[in-house]
Amino acid sequence: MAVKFKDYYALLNVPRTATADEIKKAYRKLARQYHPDVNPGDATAEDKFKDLNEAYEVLSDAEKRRRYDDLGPNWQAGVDFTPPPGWEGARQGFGDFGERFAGRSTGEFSDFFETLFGGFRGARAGAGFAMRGADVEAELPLNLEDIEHGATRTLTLQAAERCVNCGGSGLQHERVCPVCHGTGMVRRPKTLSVHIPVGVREASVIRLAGQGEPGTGNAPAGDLYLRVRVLPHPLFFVVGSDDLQLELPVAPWEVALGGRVTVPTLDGPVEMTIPAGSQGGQRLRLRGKGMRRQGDGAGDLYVKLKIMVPPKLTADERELFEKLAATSGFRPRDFSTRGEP
Amino acid sequence: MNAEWNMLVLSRKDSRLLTLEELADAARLHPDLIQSFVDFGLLEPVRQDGQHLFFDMEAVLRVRTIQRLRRDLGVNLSGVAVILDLTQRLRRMQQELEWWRSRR
Repeated sequence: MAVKFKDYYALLNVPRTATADEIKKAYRKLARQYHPDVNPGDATAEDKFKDLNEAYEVLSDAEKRRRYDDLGPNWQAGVDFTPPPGWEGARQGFGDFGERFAGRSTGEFSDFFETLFGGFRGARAGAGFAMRGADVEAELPLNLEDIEHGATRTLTLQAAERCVNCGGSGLQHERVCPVCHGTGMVRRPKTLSVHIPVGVREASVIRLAGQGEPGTGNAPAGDLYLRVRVLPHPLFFVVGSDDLQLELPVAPWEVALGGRVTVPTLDGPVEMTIPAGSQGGQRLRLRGKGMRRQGDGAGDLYVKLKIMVPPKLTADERELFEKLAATSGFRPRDFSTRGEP
Repeated sequence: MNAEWNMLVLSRKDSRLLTLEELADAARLHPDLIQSFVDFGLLEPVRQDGQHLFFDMEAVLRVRTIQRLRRDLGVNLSGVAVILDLTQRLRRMQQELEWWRSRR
């Protein structure tokens, strides 16, 4: 796949003539705005933040900025990019890169960046450098049924793997490995099949040891952390940690006279008695019909009554309601204490 | 697509609690720093057994988040505490909103 040119000045929203101070200011402002940790649930923020870091990595360093500027101002973001002659040999001399990289939060720069400045990993690997692979975090969207019954879910991640071509050294015949551009790693989709234990909750974390990024040298791989995200359910709403709430539509006579109704639960329908004289909005509790806990037991299911009337009355229904209206002494509104009619 | 299949079955070991030292190891930080997060109220052990504190797996990601906020945005520990509380609240409200919207 062709490498696309990145306009680092546009990413930071500064002119090419910006001073180091202006660049720092612009970066800080945008970093605050797009930091993934202050934008929960926004997947685009993470990509944006990665771009910002990459742009700042280059433009905040006088040497790298000069080299980037040497490419000239006529490149458009997104066009296919091939490094001009002479870049290959320029890879040396960035000896401090490994450490600076290791400290970065996202750790992963674009192919464009790797093409221009990459290759540090190869140099390190050659010197016997070993570092444990980075830990990876990912979201695991689950619906309530999965959580209730336990489930096996497959997920596909863009995972880094040790480059097979160079064995992770980044070098092939003492030249930069053409497959991984000297990074020693390649990205490709990896499908994992994960067993979800019963009793996980929103924000629960599942650790898969050794499934993170590969290490350099002989160091072990990092871990993969999956953070559970509970998808909205069409019927149930999670209350607290173990309880569920369900809105149950009922006819006026069902609450007035009382009676048995069938209520859906995560474990299938159950029968429930509505006491005569129940009110709309009232919550009835079905003990133990909430979410199962990790050990024993389960939370409760709250059934909130919602009184519905037939949207279109038949002649018979209309007659009965009119009769009720004429004979009932029921006064649902009493505002007298507040001076209303 | 040339997908690679890995079957993973979580053992009980993965859901057990972590000691402070194990948490530090998982987050690759010094235990003293973890202790200072606890002292600051940024991190709450799920169980305490005399002097020993125990954490769940969520604490690992919380520690990683704390470190990212400190390093990337230069926020101090008080600021981190506020951000963590606010984002948690934001998250909960987003979910409630999502649920209401999905019912339309």
